[in-house]
Amino acid sequence: MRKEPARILLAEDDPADVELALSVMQSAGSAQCVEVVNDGESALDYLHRRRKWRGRGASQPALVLLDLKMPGIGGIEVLRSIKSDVRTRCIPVVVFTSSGERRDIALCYENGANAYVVKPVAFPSFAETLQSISQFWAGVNVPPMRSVRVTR
Amino acid sequence: MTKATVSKITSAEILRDVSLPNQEREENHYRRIFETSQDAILVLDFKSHRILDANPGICLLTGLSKAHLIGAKAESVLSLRTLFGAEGAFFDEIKADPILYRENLVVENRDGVHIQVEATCNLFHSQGQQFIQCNLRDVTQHRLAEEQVRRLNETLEQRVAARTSELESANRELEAFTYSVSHDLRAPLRHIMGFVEILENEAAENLSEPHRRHLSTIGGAARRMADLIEDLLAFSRIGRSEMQKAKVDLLTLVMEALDDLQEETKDRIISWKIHDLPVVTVDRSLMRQALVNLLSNAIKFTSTRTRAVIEIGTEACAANEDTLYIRDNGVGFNPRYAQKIFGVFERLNNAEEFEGTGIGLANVQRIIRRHGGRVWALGKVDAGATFYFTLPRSSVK
Repeated sequence: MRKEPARILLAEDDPADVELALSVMQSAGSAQCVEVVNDGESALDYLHRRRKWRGRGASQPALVLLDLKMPGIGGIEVLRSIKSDVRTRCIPVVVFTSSGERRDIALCYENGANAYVVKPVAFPSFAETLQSISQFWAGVNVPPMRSVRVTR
Repeated sequence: MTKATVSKITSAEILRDVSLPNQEREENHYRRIFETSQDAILVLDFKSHRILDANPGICLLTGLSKAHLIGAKAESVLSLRTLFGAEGAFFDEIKADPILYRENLVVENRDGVHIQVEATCNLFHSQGQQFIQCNLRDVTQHRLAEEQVRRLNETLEQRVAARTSELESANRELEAFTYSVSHDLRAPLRHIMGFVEILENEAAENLSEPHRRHLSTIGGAARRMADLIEDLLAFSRIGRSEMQKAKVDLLTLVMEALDDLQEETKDRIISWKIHDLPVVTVDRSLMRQALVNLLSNAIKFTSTRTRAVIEIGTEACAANEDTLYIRDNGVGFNPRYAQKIFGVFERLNNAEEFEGTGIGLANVQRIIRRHGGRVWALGKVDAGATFYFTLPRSSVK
């Protein structure tokens, strides 16, 4: 089966969280459009088509779903890198984290996060939240178009 | 350091003393004072500058014998240089000012030890002749003690500041620890709850009835733990957040708190008695949290009453603070545990009957204390409870 280009890039290091997220996507019928990376470096490699992803198609995901606490390059650094690079700064990034700390929230928005969502602890709300994020960002929302570049 | 040998005067001597003629008796009195004084005393002839008399005290102080001192010119005694000077300037000064007080003098005794001394000298006339009496007092110990006190005072503030900052940083570390522990506990908990749910949804039919029950017990326990962690996080947030004080109408806050509690009041008959409430200077969101906790407490512990009565009002208050109370006709508590009720995770009632984590009132206490107020509770088993708190009236605009 030909793999559809990923609509959502999930950057999440915790395998249990990945499994829970995929299980939610699966029951919503959208698991096949999720690409999972387990650390910040891989997230950036994916977006810049480096290493393992050198040969992937040209399209960028409609959404980067970004965990904050990751080994090596953390979520904030990934966010900063995406939003400060002309090649990637238009890609919507939703921070998806356990932390509801004011400081983290402020830091993420200051660095250009498009949304900030606290992972609910209870599974039903976790599932519901994840579904509405993917429905909105990979469905309702019109993603930036690759072919059109606005010069400033 | 120097201690004059004080001979004890016996009562027999005093008795004998009475029998002497007046002049002789006065002379006798003077002699005794002179010989036994702890001060070092010199008597000089003003004109010749020579020492006429020296008591045991001065011998002890200088380490010189009486024979050595008497007859010597005052300025020639090396160890008394700081008092008399080399050129006899002392005698000009005392002529101008017959009572001289000198401090910060240093006497070097024969052993080379420097002794801090104060001196009181006075010039007097007697039978056509001018005399000077000098009393010298060893103040070395005194000065040392003074210096110590001075140094202690100097360092005290420094030490208080250092300790305070140590405490503050320990406190901050503790808060950070609480936060990160609670925070890190959330993820595994989400996994437990998530996979329990998935099993319940997708594998329930493959499980026996007892196994389904175990699964539901795991889920219930995880939910309870999630509540505890949320409360702990809120608790740690109270300690860490900056307070932003502003004037707030307490009645508005109470109404907002009741809005937050709709879920808990919807199937209940509660008669609310809300009296006039003052405008207070508080951190709005913290105070609102305290009120939510207090009201939710009152709502919870009146849940077994067919008709709950909850009253909010102010006590006749002092000039510098407002005292507020929240009274309910609920199950109350044993007054022996009135203080314990504000501890973290303390629960006075049984968990089956009343849900809760036991952090709510600890939060209330923390919030009120951060505002400089006090909290206390009065109650009786099965006869309701009243929670009081005070808020200082601050001058903040």
